[in-house]
Amino acid sequence: VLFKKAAIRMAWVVVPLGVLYFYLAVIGLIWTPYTCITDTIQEISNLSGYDFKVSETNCTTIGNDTSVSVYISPTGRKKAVLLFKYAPAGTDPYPTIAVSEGRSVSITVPVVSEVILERYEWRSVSGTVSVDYHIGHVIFPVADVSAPE
Amino acid sequence: VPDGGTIPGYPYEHIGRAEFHPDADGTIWPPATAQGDALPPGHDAGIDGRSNLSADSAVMPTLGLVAQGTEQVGLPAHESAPGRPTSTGSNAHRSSAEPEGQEAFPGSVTVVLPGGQTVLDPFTGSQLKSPVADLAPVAVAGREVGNTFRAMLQNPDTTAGAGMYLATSLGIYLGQGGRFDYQRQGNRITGFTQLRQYKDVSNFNVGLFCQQAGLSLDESLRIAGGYATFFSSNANRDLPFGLDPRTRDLITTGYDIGTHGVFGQAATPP
Repeated sequence: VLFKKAAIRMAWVVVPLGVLYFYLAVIGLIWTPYTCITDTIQEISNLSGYDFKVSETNCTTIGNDTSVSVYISPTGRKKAVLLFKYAPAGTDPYPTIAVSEGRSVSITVPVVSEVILERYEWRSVSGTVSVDYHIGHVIFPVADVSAPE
Repeated sequence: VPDGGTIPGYPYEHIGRAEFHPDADGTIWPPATAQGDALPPGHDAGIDGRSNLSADSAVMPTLGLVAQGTEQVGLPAHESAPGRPTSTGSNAHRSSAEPEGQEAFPGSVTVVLPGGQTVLDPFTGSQLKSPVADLAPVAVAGREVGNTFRAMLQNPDTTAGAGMYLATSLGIYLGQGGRFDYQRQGNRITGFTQLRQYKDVSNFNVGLFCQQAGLSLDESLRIAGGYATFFSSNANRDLPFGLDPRTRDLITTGYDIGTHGVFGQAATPP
């Protein structure tokens, strides 16, 4: 009997919340699995011993925003680290990635709307990698976007 | 802008908000800009005619007026921009997906305002693209929602539901997969795909719809920013309204163009 009462009381809370969520989801005003969609733009394998992935995430609620992310991992390892995240702009929105001497990564983008995160150094199992950014123009500069160590 | 001209969009924080000057007929004339003259390639004149975009003129070369029928200024996508950094590594990899802002998306058309003007999108360096050229239905829907919302507010029997009506309408028209959210294709059952080439016009629609509904620009940005803060992984609470600057500027562009009567009078001018 106690279990039945508790279940009924819980239903009084859960069902209205479920209906509210369903309603908001139908009109697009709450998080759903489709609020943010991430597309992989490019995967680069074994570039001087590292794998890179460039992805683009678009989130939409009332209005929408987009970011491009660059991930790095040692070749063959699955766990990737976010190096660079920015809001794209221009006709050439995706980065060019280069690795020199196995220790320095160079990321080049002609123009970005806003830099969201920059990691200048990454410690991997094979040593520390420095990252250089060549960004032609940042439309909206933000003071500090460096990633914490 | 004379009929057939182009209204520049703008990132207002760094290059100044456009100063539109509607004449007696409501036609919009940006100040101090050679009306109808195409800017020479590489010219970095700002919206107001001032040179305010630094030396990196290739970034946004098309902020001035471009009359319809003239060649679009700016560097073709395949040419390298002056001052643009180049990768020197022999092992450089270029991301190869279709870049935005190019004519690489089938079905994409240039937005044409009721007076025949087009809107320059400073973030892509080309004219604002959309799956439909005519955005008047956005304005019409915004006005209808605004009128109904205010009528509900004035009726004691419906006042309580007015806010719910407005929120629902914003969701139906502008929410994810909404009628004017052009950058989502699909449905909630089978899923959505993103159409990245329409993200700017979708934000433009938010501004235009809210303006025509009689919301203030501040209210419009707060609503958009509020949702982005909770649900977008790209949101930045440190920025004004928590909105990505590009999103904020496109909403503002849509709002301001609506303010100048291009699509008719708003439901209740804020």
